[in-house]
Amino acid sequence: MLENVIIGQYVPGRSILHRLDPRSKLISVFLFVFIVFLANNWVTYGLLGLFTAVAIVVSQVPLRFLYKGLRPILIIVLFTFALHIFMTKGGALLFQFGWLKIYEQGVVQGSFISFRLIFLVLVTSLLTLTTTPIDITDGLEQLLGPLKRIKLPVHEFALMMSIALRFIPTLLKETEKIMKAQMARGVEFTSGPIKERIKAFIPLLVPLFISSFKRAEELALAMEARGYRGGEGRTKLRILKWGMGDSILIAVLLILTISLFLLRS
Amino acid sequence: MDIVIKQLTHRYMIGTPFERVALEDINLQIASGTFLAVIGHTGSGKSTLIQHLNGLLKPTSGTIAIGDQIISAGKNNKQLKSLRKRVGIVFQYPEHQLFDETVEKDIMFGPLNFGASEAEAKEKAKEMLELVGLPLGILSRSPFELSGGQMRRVAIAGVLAMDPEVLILDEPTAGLDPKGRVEIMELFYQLHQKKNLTTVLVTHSMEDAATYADKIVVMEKGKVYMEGSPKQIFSERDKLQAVGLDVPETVQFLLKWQNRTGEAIDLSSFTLDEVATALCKQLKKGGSSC
Repeated sequence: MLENVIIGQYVPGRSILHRLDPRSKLISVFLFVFIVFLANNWVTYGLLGLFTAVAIVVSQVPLRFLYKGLRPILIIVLFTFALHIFMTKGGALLFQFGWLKIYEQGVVQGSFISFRLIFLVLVTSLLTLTTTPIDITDGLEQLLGPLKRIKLPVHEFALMMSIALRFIPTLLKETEKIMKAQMARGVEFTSGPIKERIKAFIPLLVPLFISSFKRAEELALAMEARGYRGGEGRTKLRILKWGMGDSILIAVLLILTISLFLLRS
Repeated sequence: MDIVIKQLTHRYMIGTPFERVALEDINLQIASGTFLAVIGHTGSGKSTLIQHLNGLLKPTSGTIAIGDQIISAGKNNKQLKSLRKRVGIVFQYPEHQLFDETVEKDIMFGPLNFGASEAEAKEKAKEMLELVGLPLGILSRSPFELSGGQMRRVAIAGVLAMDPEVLILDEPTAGLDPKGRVEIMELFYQLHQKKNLTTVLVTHSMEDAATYADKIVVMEKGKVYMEGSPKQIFSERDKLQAVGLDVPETVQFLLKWQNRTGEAIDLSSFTLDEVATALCKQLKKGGSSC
């Protein structure tokens, strides 16, 4: 039922991408999100595509799995593509049907924007697919470390994030369990008039809220019982190590950025 | 209703790296009126199996026939709702499904969904609350003010209120105190007999299986590992121990007795009363009274 959600999901593996330091991956993805917007011709888009393709191959994440995660986004991609293809005017007229006119520029713009979206989603999902949530928050905490000086609660922020990520699968499981229990009592979530279907969510949401609050309370209690006192003076079991591969990744990203600047029109 | 399961296989998360077989080639026949106990470890496929019995999960391949209705792979079954009325499931920790403002409304929820009138449902709520041994005074209270054990009973009442012909119980006594356990199990057993239900009990407790079941199925790694009457199952202690299970305490006691005294004892008895009688016979043979 909720099996296809891959947000925050991690695919265990031993690929190079899995073993990289989360900090280098975070910096790269962050950088990538910006430089995607530099591309504005086929060559630059080709470079980005190449980078994405290589990253996917190296990650060893099954393509079918990536596609499943991409599927919900495809609707948005198709929608923006359609918007651009009909709205952008310029270049040769390719097709005309009544008032509908499709220009060359429209097709080009539409494809560019679609590729941009697809690259963004793929690269960001690769980050979560190859990095455990704990690693991501550890990396983020260290990267944001300097902000502690201006009294930003970096550790608390990282903790909140790791708890949230950690409980996504739990919450999904719980949702499925309660959905089933209510379906066994005659609720139909997927058929019937819209009004009924919306009403059907009350017996799902109320128990979910209640159990979430309960769980939060239990978690807080368990943390206190184990002497949790926040980030001050806390040491880590696993210390992040910056290796050769991480430097290479950053170098590749920098080269990519420079090439994009040089090759864009 | 007779339940016939043929070559049922179920896979989770097909097409992902997490794909795994939860059930493999299950063949089972549950005759109408049977009290069946399904025993097995966590992850042996018990819960997956019972969710097939009212269409909450669809088979990857194979069929399940419940009365005249057949659930099979890929078929979009429009009559699932009528099936769900006839097959009630009490899930593990059923109190997690409570949601309404009052106990009465929560119990009425199922019957109303299945087309009962407001008055009928109200009547049902009262009847069921009495049946599960709670005072009528709590009908107008919020279910969240009740104690854990009371919440469990209200949730069970909510399932029973649908008047199912097949009752599926997924470890209904987990987390209850010993007294509560016996009370709840006795309640189900009486209901089973009075209404001639077909009951499927998923449990870890060999004792419960010994006391109530007519038939036992032992699951292991998604397959039916053993199947038969309690007598048959409990006579194969080695086979049970091979998968980390054991015979009920009563049978263990008799075996120990046999070892200690060297007297052969009738091992086909396993409820508390039967064991007491068997012991009595044995003691009288030795000349002592009991």
